[in-house]
Amino acid sequence: MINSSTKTYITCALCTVLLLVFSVPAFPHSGLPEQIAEISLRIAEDTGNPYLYMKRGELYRNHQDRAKARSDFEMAGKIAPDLPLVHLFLGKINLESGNIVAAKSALDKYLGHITDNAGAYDLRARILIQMQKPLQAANDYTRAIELTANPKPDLFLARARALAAAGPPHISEAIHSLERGMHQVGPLVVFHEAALELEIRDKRFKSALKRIDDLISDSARKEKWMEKRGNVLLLAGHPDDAKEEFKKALQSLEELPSHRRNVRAQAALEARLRAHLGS
Amino acid sequence: MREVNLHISSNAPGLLKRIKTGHQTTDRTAGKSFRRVRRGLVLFTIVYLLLFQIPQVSAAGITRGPYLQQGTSTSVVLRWRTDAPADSRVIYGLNPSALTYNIEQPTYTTEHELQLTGLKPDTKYYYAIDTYDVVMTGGDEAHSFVTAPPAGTNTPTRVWILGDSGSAGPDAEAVRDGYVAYSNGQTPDFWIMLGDNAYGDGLDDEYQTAVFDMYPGFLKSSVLWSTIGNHDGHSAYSYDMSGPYYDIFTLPTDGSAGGVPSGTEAYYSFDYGNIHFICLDSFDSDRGPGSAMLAWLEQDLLETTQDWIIAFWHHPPYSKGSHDSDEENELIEMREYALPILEDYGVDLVLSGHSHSYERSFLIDGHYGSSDTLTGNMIVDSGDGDEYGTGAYKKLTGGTAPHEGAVYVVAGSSGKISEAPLDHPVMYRSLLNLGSLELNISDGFLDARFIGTDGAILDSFTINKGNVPLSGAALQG
Repeated sequence: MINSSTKTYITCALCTVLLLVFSVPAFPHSGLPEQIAEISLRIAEDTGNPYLYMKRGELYRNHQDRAKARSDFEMAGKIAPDLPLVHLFLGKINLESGNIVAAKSALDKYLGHITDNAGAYDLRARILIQMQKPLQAANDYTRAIELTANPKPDLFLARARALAAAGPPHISEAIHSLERGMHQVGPLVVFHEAALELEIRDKRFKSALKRIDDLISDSARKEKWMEKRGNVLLLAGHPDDAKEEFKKALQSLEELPSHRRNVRAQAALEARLRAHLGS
Repeated sequence: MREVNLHISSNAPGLLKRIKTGHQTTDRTAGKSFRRVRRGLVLFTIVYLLLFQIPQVSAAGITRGPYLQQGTSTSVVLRWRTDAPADSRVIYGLNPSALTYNIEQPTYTTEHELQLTGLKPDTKYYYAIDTYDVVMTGGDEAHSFVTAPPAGTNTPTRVWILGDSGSAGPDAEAVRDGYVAYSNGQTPDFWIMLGDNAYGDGLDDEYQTAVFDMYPGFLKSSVLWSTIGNHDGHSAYSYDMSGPYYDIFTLPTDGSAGGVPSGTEAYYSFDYGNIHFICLDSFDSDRGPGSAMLAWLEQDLLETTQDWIIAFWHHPPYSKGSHDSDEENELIEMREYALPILEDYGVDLVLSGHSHSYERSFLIDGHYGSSDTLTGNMIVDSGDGDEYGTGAYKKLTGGTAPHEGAVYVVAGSSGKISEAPLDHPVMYRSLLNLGSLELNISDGFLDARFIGTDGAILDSFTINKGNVPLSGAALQG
């Protein structure tokens, strides 16, 4: 697909490219330990280059050596305290290490300088989720989506989850976030499933049933949607209709060849349906 | 002396022309000078437009491709690049001397992309790139393709696999030439790149040398599919499908090639006959539980009805090559999170690159931890998988069934090799050889062969599904 987006949302990724092109040779030959060793030699020759420390820090991070990764990022920060990129790397490593407050501080510093990096907003949103600040996280996800020409589905999902976590008054907005994802990215099943969950949680049974009906007509495999339909009917106070739905789902499952029924998810579904029907 | 500064039209390279005129005592003198200048400007502009601005249609040459993308049983995408803006037109048909169909896009561009639709399944078409009724290239055997067979049909299928081929040098040439020698120049039904297609950073000019200049014959006659590698990801981002990798490839986001819509080119699926191929993004997409990719994967596996499932991505779940699957995030997470889903739905074969070697596993199932947690009951068949050795790996069910075992192949030596321990316990064979992989799938058999640079078979194995007895023809290979 030809993509001529003019928005380079991840400044740090460009910096990473610069970092790789101008400071560090590409490593088509070596594994991580060899790459780390090679960068270490370069650092020994050029101890004042923050980009080398950041590159090695990323390699340590990929190698799951977070302590050494943090040490390298902190050294880069000492060499170049005004370099925003350092704070992005520190934010990432602190998040992965569980140092949430430090991660937030780092991302705040980065985004104080660089305001058009969607990836950084995404990262800070994840930090805010862990700090139990879902509304602020949702705002950051919104900003990340706005800055991205072709946003990945995860952004819309994450935003919806953040809004849902903020409580019932925000469920409508969460569903709207998913609808927006469907409009922008496509009517993905993952969006519908998330929206369905929210509609059920918010007792919007009519819209949930409508959504399920659309999914049943569009899907090759309908059993799981039939089960969901049954569950919604139960919650809506229609036990007889629910039972009919569970029967239809079970019948559809029983018509499948045995090797398809034995898939773990299908076997679990069958067990639940039988439990509903008391058989 | 009065100086007049004139700034020439902004379409031209910046020019500041200073004209010194004589002291102007009368309007007539000034008017003459002005007319002279105006005439000069008009002449300059006309010459400039003729030379530089009007599209040089007759001079527009193809600098990339043509290459085939996103092939289905009824459609294919054709792409090419020209060195000057031109319109896009393809003529095509069932006979190279009778290209009776055409499709066109009048917008001038250097990046051309047309989707040919309404094609017949399993049918050979010839095509030519054509502009202003002058055939630019094509209309011959080299410019032809065969559409995919209808989904669900059992059709002999040949696939060529390259991993980490992006070195753009003699090693990649040797691998290519070795395959050409082995296959007697036959075109595969389609081919797959397992990532790191263009070193060092997947830039556009690197793709030109590593892919377009390296495989021109394959590109124009066989659909190429790809997954993103970490080097491609130096300049491309799954986050928003930007960068050269995503600019160059046309990959399905809407399920139009078979499978469930993913909404992104980072991961997708397609059908070829009775084989369902799944591409995952091990590098740049969220890989964890609850991620959109894994949710899509499960739905896609639930809905497929094909007999074979082959998955591919860049970072191998098992490797002791130049990358260690016990120690690196991407490899660990793909093993821990993606494999349980794939094996639960009966994946047959998983292909990866990243480590610059060849590693091929036994038929295994259920091994999601580090290499030292492998136990005997995770090895479904500890034989060599060779029909002429201890026997093909057998899976009882003709279609897909959970946990009957899968073979895992690291085929990352199509452009270079790197020293490594090569001692992962799930591997039956590990080789430090340049090479590429060929798959032949037909009638319940999947034959895989690792082909070296001299065209020799360095490794082979067979997966036999549904307990189909070996025919005499199959035994003779």
